Amino acid sequence: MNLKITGLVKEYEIQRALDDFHLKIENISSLVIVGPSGGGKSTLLRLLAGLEVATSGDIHINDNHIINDEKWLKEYRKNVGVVFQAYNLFPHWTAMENITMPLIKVHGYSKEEASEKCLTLLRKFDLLEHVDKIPAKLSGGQQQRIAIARALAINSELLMFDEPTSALDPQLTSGVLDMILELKKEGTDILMVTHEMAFAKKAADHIVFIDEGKALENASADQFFNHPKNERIIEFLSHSNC
Amino acid sequence: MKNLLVIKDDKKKLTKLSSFTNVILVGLFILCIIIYTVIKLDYSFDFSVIAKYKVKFINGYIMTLEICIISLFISLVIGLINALALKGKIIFFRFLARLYVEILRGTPFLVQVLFFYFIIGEAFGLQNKFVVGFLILSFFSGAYVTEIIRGGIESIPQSQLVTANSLGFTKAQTYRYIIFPQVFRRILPSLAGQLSSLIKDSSLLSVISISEFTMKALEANAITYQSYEIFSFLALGYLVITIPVSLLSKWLERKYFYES
Ligand SMILES: Nc1ncnc2c1ncn2[C@@H]1O[C@H](COP(=O)(O)OP(=O)(O)OP(=O)(O)O)[C@@H](O)[C@H]1O
Ligand SMILES: [Mg+2]
Repeated sequence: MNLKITGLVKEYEIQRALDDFHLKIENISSLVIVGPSGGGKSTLLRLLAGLEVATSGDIHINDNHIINDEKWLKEYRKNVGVVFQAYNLFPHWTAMENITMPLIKVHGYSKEEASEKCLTLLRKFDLLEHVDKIPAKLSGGQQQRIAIARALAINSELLMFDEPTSALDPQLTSGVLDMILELKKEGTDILMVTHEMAFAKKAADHIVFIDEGKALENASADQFFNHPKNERIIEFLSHSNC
Repeated sequence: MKNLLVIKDDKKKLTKLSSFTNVILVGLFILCIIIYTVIKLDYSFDFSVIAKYKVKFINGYIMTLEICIISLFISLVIGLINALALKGKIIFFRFLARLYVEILRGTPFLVQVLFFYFIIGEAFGLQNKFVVGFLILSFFSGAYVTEIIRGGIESIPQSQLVTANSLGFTKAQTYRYIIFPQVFRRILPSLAGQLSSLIKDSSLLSVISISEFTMKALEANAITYQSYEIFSFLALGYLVITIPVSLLSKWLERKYFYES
């Protein structure tokens, strides 16, 4: 994935969540975004996913220049898979419907094509037994893995995650992280916000550290963890579990 | 003895004997009131009036049912359109819908009936009382249905809308496939309750002489003065529908509660 962000600003009524944010990264397959709470990580992810528009600045992601045009954004969003912290699945649909409905209604699949695709994915990730369950009957970890399968189903070349495990018990976390790791190994590009430093160490090609709306650090995983330069980062790492 | 009459622990179920005793007691209490009124009024019962005017009653009952069923459907449509107007982007429609809801919920139904009949009905040349009847009732009920639907839409968490958006669903698709199916399930108990209100409120249409159930009872009463039988029968006629509807509503509520 290639990413070029210049002079990005995102203002909310009372706050600048991103403040003259710059970032340039080329040819990596997994990017992990870390940083203290309220630093602007989720905001950046929402802008990258085309869910909100920037106050000013430019984002180039792969071959896309994200522009403030609802029609264009609509098309763009279709091809980006996003998984949030929790409540990704629609509660009135079974696991199957959660995966097939976007394929049918948004991507124009036939019912048969969609269910075939869904079953293949669920089989692959060992989720087949849950195919007809509604989310209320699934554990948080199973829900997240089905949400990831849904994001995969649309053949997005890039998957984005915003703290996909932070609402889960530790036992359930590993199942979800293993699935993400597997995707990375298969060549899916991944962009992820997380507080799981051990996972970041293992899975990230590249780490961006965001604090107060700016990218304080932008380095390879090795450099970030083993040779941190910035004092804020040294302090941040000393508080995290790795 | 005391255990029979007083609940000690709210979590424990009542014993059969205790339930039975208290049902009898309540029955006796009601019976006392009936006996008192009968003695006081020096009343002699003659239930044959019900049979005698049965065609009247049946016609009135059918009219009540027809008005209520039609009104329920129209008020659902009104409620849906209004709720969308309240949530929509066009300010004029938002204000209009809000004003409508506030006025219809803030004034007595009887006043609305009179206003509609003598002013709007006259002005628009509405001659047919049946039409006038279900229109008033629809507008009245529509205001409540609007609030029920609005509440239902607002009970869908924001996170689902963000997810729908991120998956590429259009706004119309989001409403159709994601919001409405859930809203509908959630509001079914309230809608059943609304149907029950509708049926009861329809009796007020008798003030403008619409030949529904209450009107027919009033007519029968004016001829025979057998008020006790007639009005008891009238009340029973409403209860026959409202009790099952209320049970249905409770059942739906529990069903929804366990499903989510
Ligand atoms: N929709 C919004 N409206 C107003 N302010 C917002 C909104 N979203 C984020 N903010 C503000 O912008 C800042 C950055 O928030 P953001 O959610 O991006 O942080 P974060 O790095 O993801 O934090 P966390 O680790 O707690 O998730 C915060 O101060 C937050 O209060
Ligand atoms: Mg966040």
